[in-house]
Amino acid sequence: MDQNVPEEQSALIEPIQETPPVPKKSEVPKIVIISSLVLLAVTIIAIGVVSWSQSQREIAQPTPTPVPPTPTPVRILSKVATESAFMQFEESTASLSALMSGYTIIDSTLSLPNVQSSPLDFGKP
Amino acid sequence: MRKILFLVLLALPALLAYSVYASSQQAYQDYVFQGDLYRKAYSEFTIAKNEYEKFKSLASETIALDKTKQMLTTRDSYVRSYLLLLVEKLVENPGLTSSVRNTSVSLLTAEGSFLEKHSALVSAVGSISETVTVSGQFESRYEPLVGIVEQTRTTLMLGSLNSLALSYDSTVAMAQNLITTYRESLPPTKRATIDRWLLEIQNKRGLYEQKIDIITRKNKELAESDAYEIQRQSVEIGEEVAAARQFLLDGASFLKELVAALKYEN
Repeated sequence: MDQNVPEEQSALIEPIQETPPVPKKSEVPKIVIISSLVLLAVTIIAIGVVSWSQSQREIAQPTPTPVPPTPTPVRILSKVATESAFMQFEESTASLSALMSGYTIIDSTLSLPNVQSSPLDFGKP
Repeated sequence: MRKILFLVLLALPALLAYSVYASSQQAYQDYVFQGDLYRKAYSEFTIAKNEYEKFKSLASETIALDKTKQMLTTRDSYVRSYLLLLVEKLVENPGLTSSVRNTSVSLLTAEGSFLEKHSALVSAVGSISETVTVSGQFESRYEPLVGIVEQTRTTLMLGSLNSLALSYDSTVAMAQNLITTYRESLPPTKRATIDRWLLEIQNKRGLYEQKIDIITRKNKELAESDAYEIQRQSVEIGEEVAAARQFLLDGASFLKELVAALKYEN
């Protein structure tokens, strides 16, 4: 302490005290927080709307009832079908069809051989 | 007993077809072999000819003469083997009448004899200029030979078509007999339909016959045509043959429908 400072003056001078650190406020701006909240709300609403519409669609579409298989019409054999003449005709038709499909009419192996048919042309020796 | 006989009759064409295939195969194998020999000889001839024209030496002339003779001989053998293959095919074709077959065979045999004699002439040749002359004999004969070959090929196709038509006719005849015999037992509503279908089947046969007439006419014209005309006519004949076959195929398909219609009441 200064010997020259009077007693009243020295009373005015307070010792410097260290102030406690003030906690920092959040740096995220308010606008970001608000917009995030709005986005979240919109998403929730959208999901809700989609699921609702889907459920409505499901209600609108009736579940398909299983269609009973259509019975194949039973073909009744004619009287002619039991005759041996008919059986011969049937066999003949079947063999004709087989013959037709497998028969070679235009035989490609028979094309004319490719040989030199022009003059030899030896030039002039 | 009748059934066994029927089955044997059915199997007969298959057996015949197999034997036809076996004999034709032998002739075809020979034709392919002769073709290989000719191509090899022709390649050697080309090299020897170029060498001779380049050097004009006695040695190159001797080699050229030798290779030319070889080429001419193998060419005769190659074409002859082809003619023999055609003869084999004619002999085995089930749809040809003997007169048609004999006419074609005699034409081919005459060409084969010419080639045989020509080969003998080639082997007697002693100079390059003589090879040119002898080769000229083949060349002058080649165009008429192409005409004969194309005629034979058409004859073979006509025979094959005729063979199919014979089977077609016998099946149609069976259908006609069947319908005539059991007409009264058919449901009245079906009779008219079946009659109409049978008419359609017969119409296809008529259309086929028209095509055969066109093919036969064009085939006769081949004999008097030049090389270009022969080629053009052959393409047209091929198209007509395909169309004729299609008419028979359509008719065969109708016959199958007729079978189903006769088989069932409903």
